[in-house]
Amino acid sequence: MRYANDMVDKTTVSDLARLAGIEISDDELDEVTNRFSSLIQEMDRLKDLDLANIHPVAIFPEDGEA
Amino acid sequence: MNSTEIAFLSATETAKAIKTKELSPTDAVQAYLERIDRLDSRLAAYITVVREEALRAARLVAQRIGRGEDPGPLAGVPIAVKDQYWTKDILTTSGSKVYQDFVPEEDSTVIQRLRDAGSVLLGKLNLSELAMGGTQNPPWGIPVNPWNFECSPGESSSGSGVALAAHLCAASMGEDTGGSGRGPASYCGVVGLRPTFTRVSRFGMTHMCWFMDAAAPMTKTVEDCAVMLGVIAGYDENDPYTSHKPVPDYTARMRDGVKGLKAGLIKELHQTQDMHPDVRSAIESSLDTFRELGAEVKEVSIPLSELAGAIFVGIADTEGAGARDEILRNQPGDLDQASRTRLQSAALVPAKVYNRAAKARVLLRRQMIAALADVDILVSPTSPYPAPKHTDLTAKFENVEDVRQRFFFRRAYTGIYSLTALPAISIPGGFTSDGLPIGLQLGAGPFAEETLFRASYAYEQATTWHTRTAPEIDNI
Repeated sequence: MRYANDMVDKTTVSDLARLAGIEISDDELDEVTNRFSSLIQEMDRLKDLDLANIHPVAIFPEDGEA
Repeated sequence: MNSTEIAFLSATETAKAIKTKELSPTDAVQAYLERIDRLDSRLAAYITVVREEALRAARLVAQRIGRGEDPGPLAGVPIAVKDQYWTKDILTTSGSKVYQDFVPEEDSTVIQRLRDAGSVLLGKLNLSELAMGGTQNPPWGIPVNPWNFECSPGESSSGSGVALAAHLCAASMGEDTGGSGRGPASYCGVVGLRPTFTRVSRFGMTHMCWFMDAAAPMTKTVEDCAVMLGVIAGYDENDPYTSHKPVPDYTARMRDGVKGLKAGLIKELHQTQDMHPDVRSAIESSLDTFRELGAEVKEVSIPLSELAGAIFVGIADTEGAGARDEILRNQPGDLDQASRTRLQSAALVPAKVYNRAAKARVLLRRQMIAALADVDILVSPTSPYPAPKHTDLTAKFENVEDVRQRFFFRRAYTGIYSLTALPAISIPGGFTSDGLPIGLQLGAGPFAEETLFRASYAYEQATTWHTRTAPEIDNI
């Protein structure tokens, strides 16, 4: 399953929702697809960042950087 | 004082008048209850008004003052809180039908501390469903912006902003996950603070995103905000992530001025072509004001700030969808259409995408801390445009670009602080040519709220924006 730079289609969203156990009504599928597709595309813009040596944190140290 | 004069007092002015017996706590409460009765059917700021409890609490404050006791810094101050904070024996809906019958058995820590400081709770304020945004049909009515009834008061602490701008309470509590407190403050022309993430307890707050939810004092003045933060801040054993750092008197250095302070305009958030021209002009004027007050003004670069909206949604919405999995599976029909589709789309985000956002958040923090090594405060608008029309905010998304423009773009401005756990404040920073408030946002380093109050107070005292009154409320 690819997201990359392509627009995610409604079929992909339906398939993902089925796997996740979430029911999306037919009349809201366009809206969910637009939202999901946009999020994936925006997040795709982060691919060029060098994040290799960065580790996610839940709470930052009280002073300074993580 | 007549009831209108009472209602237009700031929180600190109210407390002072009550302590000196110029004003009785009961008269203060009655003044606000009268305005709520008269105005709120049109404004929809409140979900619940606790009339009898408020009057009872006011009488207790009066009795304490009569005995010569000091009830606290918020003595008799009528406040209202976003209906996201648990209140013992009082309905707490979180703006959703899912919680329409939820009555907590205890107060949140914030509420308890506000009560201990002598304040009087008037009621619970309307909000976007589950403290998200874009709710199309809020179950308890659509809150309207007192500056223009066709416009949104901002999200998600909508009622908290409306109640202040219409003087339906002396101070309010919002909550700020990605700008939910600062946004409504900006659109409604009031003050809203997002404190350092671990500064204020989140015990007894219904969560939107555990990683970023923060209690947000919202007030008529900067001084009120400093007092409110002093009341609610500090370690809480019920929230082990709260900081043990001592809580200073946030008003102590507030009047020190900004001479020698360094202010940095965030370049990436200012150079965008999509910013409303009146907002751009207001921010540039604010920089002139800071210069005139003796601050040094420069430009700073935070490259990732442009993508902060996407990073924020990638984390907050995904986290929120995970936390609400049971609702999504079992009660989707109880959710507003916008909340449902937003959570459904976030529930589908792949783990690698979430992980990338979580890493980018750390990188953004590094960039912010690096910028703050060079300046004391960061400057930007709170929102790149003034309050949008209700219909613009709640319309269904037409396509992917529509989502980007209406959903991600504005979230970058407030999201940079939410993502990085840093404090930021929105204060009145001007008006558009058609009379809508513009919010000036100042940010600072970890636990540097004193610096924020110092800069905000200096700017507030040098301008008159906070003295204007929303015109629409006179037409009800």
